[in-house]
Amino acid sequence: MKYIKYLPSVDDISEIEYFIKGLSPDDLILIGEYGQLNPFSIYYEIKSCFNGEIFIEINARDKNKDLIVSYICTAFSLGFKGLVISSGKFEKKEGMAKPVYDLDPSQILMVAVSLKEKKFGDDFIIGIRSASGTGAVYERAKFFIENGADFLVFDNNNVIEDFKNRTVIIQEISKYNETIIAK
Amino acid sequence: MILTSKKNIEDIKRSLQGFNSIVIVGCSECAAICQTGGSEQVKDMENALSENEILATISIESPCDKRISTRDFRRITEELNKADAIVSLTCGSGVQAVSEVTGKPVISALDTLFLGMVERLGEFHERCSTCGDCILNYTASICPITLCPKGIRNGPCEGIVNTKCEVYEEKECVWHLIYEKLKDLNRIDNYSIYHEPLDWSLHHSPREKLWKRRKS
Repeated sequence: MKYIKYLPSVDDISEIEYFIKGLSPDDLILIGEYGQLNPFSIYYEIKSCFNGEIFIEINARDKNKDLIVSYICTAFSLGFKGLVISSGKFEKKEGMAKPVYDLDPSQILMVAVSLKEKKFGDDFIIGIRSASGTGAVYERAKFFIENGADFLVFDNNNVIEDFKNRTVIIQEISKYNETIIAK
Repeated sequence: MILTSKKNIEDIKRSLQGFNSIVIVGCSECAAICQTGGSEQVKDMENALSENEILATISIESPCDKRISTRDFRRITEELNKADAIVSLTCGSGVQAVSEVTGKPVISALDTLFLGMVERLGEFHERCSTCGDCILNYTASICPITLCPKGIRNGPCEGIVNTKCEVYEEKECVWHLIYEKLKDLNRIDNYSIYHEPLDWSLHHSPREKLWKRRKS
């Protein structure tokens, strides 16, 4: 199984070097979008001090179809190795403006696979987050693989055995925790 | 059924500023069942607005139906003509129908919540989002658009924890329920059917449905 180093959020571009020192070029990095900075804005900053492959997480949340297409095409154009599709976190305590889920992860997968086939080519990799442990989850994961996902991404070691050879596990790069970064 | 809740009376009084003579309209259908716009609530509103001149109160069977509103308002034509405004204990459709039928300023006394299933009096559950592209035939008659907080048409999402929802931890994930029920119904093949995104060119607001009368 492969692992991917996850940087869930970045609030300041000057943090980048600090986050990725200690990573080897063999590592994969996944940039999330829970911080104040758009992950695209830090791509070149990361690229300047890291030679490995960089993925971007694309949350379904708060994006309409046009924006999702734009995110995927921008990721490809900038040079990201690929993307990881997820639905995006939603907490019931959130007030005011409604979170939008215009497309779900399966629908984003269809969009991404179509773009890959028509424009990007096989080198662009599509991952998608999955849970594990229930029949419903298994069937959905099977659907992802059968419909063009290159790999499934899990938060921990509770993976789906049948798809182990198409599995990547997240290892979070903790902010302000040098010992974890140095691993 | 359309679920409503009462607005704060102070908000209603604020909206009524500048209007003295009023007519109060209730709904004897949905709002009556919700106990937000029935005859008792019309009476309560009359008491709460006692500083105003109440010209008439009326409960209409379906105030959202302009034909019925038009017919029933004829009973109080004189009072309506004198009224500065109407206070409407109805859903949003009712408020607008009353406004269009009477041409008077209408103050809404209720907030419209959702389309609900009645469990028993006082217990209502949202089961339909009126999305316009129903997939219930493939989801064991359980609506994921409404019951999944993310409204996911091809679930579950990665946030499911064991069988529980990511957002409402005490509730089962609706996609887990759909899967289990489809298994019980021997219709599990339906689970893997891909549902396209909603075609909003067909379903965005304001929607309308126009029937053509058949020629007999």
